[in-house]
Amino acid sequence: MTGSRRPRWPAAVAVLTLVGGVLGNVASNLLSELADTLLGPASIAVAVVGAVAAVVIELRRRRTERTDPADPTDVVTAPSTGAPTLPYPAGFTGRVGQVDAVVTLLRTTHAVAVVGRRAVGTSACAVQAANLCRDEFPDQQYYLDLRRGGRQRSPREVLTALARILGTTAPAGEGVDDLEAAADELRSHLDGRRILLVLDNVDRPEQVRALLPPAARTCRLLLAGTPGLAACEGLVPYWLEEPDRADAVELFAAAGGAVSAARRHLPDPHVDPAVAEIVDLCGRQPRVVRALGYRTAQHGWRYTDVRDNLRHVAAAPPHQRTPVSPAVRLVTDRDTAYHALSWQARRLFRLLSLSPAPLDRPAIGALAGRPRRQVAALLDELAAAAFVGGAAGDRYDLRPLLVPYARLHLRSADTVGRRVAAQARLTRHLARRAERHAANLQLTGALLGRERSLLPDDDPYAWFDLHQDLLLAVVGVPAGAADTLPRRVRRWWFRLAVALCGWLAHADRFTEWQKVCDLVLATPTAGDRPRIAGWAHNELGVLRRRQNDPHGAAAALTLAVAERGRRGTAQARMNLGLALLDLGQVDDAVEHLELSRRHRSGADRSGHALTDLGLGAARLTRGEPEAAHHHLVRAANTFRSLGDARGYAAALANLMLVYHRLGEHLDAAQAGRAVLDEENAGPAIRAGALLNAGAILFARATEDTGPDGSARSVGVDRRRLVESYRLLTRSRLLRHGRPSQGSGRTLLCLGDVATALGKPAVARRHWSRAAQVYQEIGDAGGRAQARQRLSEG
Amino acid sequence: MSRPPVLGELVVLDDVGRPRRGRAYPAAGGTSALLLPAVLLLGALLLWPVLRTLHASVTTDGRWVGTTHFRDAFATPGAGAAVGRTLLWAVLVPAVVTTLGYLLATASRRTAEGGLVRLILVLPIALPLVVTAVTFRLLLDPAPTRGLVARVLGAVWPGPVDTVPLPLGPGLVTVSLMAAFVWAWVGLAVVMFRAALEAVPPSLADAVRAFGGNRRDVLWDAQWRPLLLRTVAVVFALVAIGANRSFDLILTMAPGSVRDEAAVLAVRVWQTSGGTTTGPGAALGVIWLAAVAAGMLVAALFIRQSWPPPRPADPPEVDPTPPPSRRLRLVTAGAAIVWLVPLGVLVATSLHAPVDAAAHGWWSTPPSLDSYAAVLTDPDLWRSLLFTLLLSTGVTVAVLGVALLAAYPLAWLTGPPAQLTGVFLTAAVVVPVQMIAGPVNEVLGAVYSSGTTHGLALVHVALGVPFAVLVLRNAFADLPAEQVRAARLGGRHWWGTLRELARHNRSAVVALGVLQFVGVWNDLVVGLLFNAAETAPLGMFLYGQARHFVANSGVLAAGSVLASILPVLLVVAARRHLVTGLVSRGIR
Repeated sequence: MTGSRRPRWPAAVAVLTLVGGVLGNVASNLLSELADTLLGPASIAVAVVGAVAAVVIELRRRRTERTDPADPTDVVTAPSTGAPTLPYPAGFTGRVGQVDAVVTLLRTTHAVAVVGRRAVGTSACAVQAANLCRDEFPDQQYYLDLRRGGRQRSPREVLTALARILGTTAPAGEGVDDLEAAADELRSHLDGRRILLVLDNVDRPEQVRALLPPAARTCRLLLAGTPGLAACEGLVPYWLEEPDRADAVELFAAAGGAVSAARRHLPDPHVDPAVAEIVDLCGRQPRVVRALGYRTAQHGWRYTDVRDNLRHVAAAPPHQRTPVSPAVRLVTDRDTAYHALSWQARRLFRLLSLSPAPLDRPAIGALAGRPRRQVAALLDELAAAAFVGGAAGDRYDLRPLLVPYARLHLRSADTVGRRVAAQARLTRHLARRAERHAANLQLTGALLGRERSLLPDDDPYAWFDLHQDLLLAVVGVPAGAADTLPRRVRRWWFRLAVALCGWLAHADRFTEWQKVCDLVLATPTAGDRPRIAGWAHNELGVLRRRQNDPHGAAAALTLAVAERGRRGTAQARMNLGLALLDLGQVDDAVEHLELSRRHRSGADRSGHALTDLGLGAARLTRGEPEAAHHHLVRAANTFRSLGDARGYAAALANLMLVYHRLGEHLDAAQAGRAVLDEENAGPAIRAGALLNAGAILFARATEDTGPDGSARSVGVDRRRLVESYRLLTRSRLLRHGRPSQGSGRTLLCLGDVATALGKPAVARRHWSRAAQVYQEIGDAGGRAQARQRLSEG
Repeated sequence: MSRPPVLGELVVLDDVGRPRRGRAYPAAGGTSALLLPAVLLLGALLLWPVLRTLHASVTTDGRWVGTTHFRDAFATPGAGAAVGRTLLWAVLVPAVVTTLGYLLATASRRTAEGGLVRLILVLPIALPLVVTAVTFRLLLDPAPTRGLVARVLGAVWPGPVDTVPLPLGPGLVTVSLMAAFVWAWVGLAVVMFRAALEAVPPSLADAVRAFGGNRRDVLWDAQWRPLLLRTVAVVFALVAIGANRSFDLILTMAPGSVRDEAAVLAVRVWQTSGGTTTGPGAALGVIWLAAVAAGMLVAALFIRQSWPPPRPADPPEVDPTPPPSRRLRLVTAGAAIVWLVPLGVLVATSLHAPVDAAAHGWWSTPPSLDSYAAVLTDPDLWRSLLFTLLLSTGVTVAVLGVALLAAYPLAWLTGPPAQLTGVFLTAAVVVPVQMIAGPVNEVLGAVYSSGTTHGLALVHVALGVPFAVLVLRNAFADLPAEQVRAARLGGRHWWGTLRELARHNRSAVVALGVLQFVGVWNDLVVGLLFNAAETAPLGMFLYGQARHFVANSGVLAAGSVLASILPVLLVVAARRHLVTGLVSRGIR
């Protein structure tokens, strides 16, 4: 849609350059002739300087006009004459409870401060409260705006203005003593008189500190200002929140009703659900809501249109181009609180809307592309203005009410390029962290079993636990977008997804794992599609295999093999081989594993080792122990030199079976000892090794004769059986009752050993449990075996 | 296959995580290594010599001379006639052989004596062409006292005695040569047609008849279009290639006085250049190569391989066609007798004392074993026999080794690369050796092998490899998928797989081995062009004795019989393999 039309500006620039060149030449010729004949060069210089000065002055005038517009929807309008009388609010609506609370406070305390974010309506609320209790202050009600014309007044100016109003002496100088003297005189002047003094727009506590605490008995001081006031001694702060939704809708409706020629066909905003959503999208900022209500009524915009417009702009992924409509411009222009921030803070506020979850300081630094120190200062500024809130683990995020609003700002203030750059920075930061931690999972998993002394930032489990919402959301954010992810984001986004899946796979969190893979598959990724989709299908296949669904696994892995280019099929092929092995298609499995081995790069040693491990298993299943021995020994050596304890243990566990099949009982025993000595192997592999050891012992105990053909003593067999039962029980305990092929096999073996030991009841219990396990994982063959033993035993 | 259940649990780890980069062409390195010997041989001893010949045909000492050599070559007397004769050989002889082969194949189907007839017809294929030449020269001897044909002609000729046509005279020598060639090659056509006819499903003819077709329709729709068209093309092409190599025959059979009247391009090139590179010789060679290549391309249009290969019906269909009529069977028997006559003449001549054989006809003097005694006491013959045996065996082993290695990776090519390889190999098969003799000698000189025994062996290997690769490649590619799969699963390394596949293709390997052995054993031209060693191969030995033909005829006949025993025995013993290994390729 965008970008399909060829831009017209090159043609326009060319034409304008041509015309402008001709006209400029003509004009300069005329001027030079004039300069020669009539005027001197000096007069021309004077004329040019004058013209430039006129332009500058006009621009500045317009700028000042723009910063202080006369908005028809302002509730509190200070008297243009500058008279210190309390103004009447124009069209104040809602917030009844809050105003009443202020009035109540005024009756009991000397100084009340209505504090809140800027532009949240503190002034209006204070003025309304003052008006409501006008009658209680018969002597006088004074109103002073401390930010008149957009400029903050100094403490001395405040005291001077008050002195002028009340007829006391103004402070003689800037010194603290002078201010104190003037304030004392003020207090003594006010003492005993029923006067209400409303000081509006107090930005800093210093401005009013000299007046506090007010000692006068009957005089009341009502302040309206920023949250910083709350820390002042001697006054009671009243925290003013944003209006609730009903009040905001009421504000919207009232502003619309104030339009003289409002269109009649608009529905009642009180009942239109679109309006409620509109005010939420505007962060329920009263000034903005009112302005939008006014304009909507004035131009006759449909509420649903405005709602859709704002919602689309707020919800679209940051890399998508969306036109900025007048409504959005109006909403962003009227955000006084936002415009009061420094530009750095404004930028950080906008960028924070890119993050779907709380961020820690390094991530915020990466998002903004700023050093940590500067980020801390900016965060303080934003927190002081109540833009951001904190979360556990020294993390920060935008207040939820302001998130869509921040997105609107982001849209209107930052170009696509900048948005994408920030997104890419954040994604890159997270991807790098996640990759580092995911790589450490295996190692620290083994460490953590013994000592939990890692720093939180070095503990991958803690890091992933803390940031999982963020990671899941960042990976999931662009899903379903109409446009593909930009290339600079895509790369890091994919690496983040891979690292995240590494953690999910390690933690056996299958549901979330599948969710992430589905999300990745649903995300448009343009040219990287084969690689990314191939990866996702591969993960899905492995996931299904681990969930005991080899058919689904084979389907997904076949897709993965088909999706990946010719350089990337080794991984998926190997997993496909393993799935086929589960399905009992041993020949196909061997074929795919062999292909995978050939397609592995020579430098990919761990991949070769994995394939060799699978090939060894497949060859053993195929009844070729020599070939299996070859592959497994190679796999074990490679795993060992790579320092991969899991792989080494797995290869040894299979080698035990191979040696047993080959009749090398001593080798089998040594392999078994080595694998049980391997501490970091992980429970699943240890359980497998224990099962193999137990099964081999059982098989040897039930053999009729010894290796030399002589009949063995009964005692040896008995000891072997007992030892076998012990090993199998340990294996079963390690599996934590999770149903799998291995646990079913363990239970079957346990039953057999129990029968040999002469405990038929125990054996029946194990077999029935085995039947149950096989039923759960949907293995008909295993279930039949268990049933058969049950019926025979 | 039942396997014992695995004890315990097999622990495997799956490969998840970041995508790993693998190899795009995993077998590229190994494949290149396997192809290397064949590529080196073909490149050095075929491709480069062809290019060198092309270059030599338009340059003199590196200077560009345009078409000068071509004009010079045609300006020499008899050149045009030689070209014409070559074309005649390439068109007429294959046509005759194909027609005759088809007729005899149909006539000998499903008769009791058919097998015997075919055996008799096949025997001449195994004979060296030199022996064929000796046989026919004995048969066509112009003196009525010695030559059977001259005597018969003299008896039946109605005109005066001095007008009796001489079969080896200038007018008829080409016809005689062609007759000898047809005699030698018709067996091949018969065997191939027979295999083709047996592959035609009889039900097809029934179907044509059921739709109201007459005999012509049956021939056209049930035989010609499905199968015979391609077989005819193959036979035609094979015989054309063979006729291309009629060099040995002409050289030995045509008496020196009429050799110019019998000469074809091969002889002209040899006469012009010998074993060196000359401009006019190269020009003649280029013309020749262009003609051969054009012919091969035309033939290739008809030999397109059908895919997938036809499967034999299971159970085999019973052919309801009745055996041929009595008259046809008589014709067949007559043909067999006619085909036996030259062999009989050869054997009979060899069974006479040398003096008797030189002076009288074999029918006029009593038989004796003196010629054999003379031959067997000749140490040169024994040396020659032993040398040829060693050479043939060595070359056969080398060709099979190189071709198996090269055919294994080439078999998995599909699509355009496979077609390209096929075209290249076919072109390499048809390159005439006389044309590239000079450059090949240069190459051999560069590796210090020119004129030596191993140089000769190298040339034999290089000439044998293309055909062997072609046949083995097709054989490997045609193996059923399940056999290939079983071989792949069973062998841990590629050589295990290769051995397994070669075992499945035993027929093709045996046939190639026999053909290669017989080819080297029977060879004359390669020895003539490249051998300078003291010991001559068998073909050279016989050719040397044939120079004094009349005086030597008894000894020569005895030597020929001795030289023919081994190839004939081999071919007869391996004929089934030959048919299944080679001919089944041809009928597709």
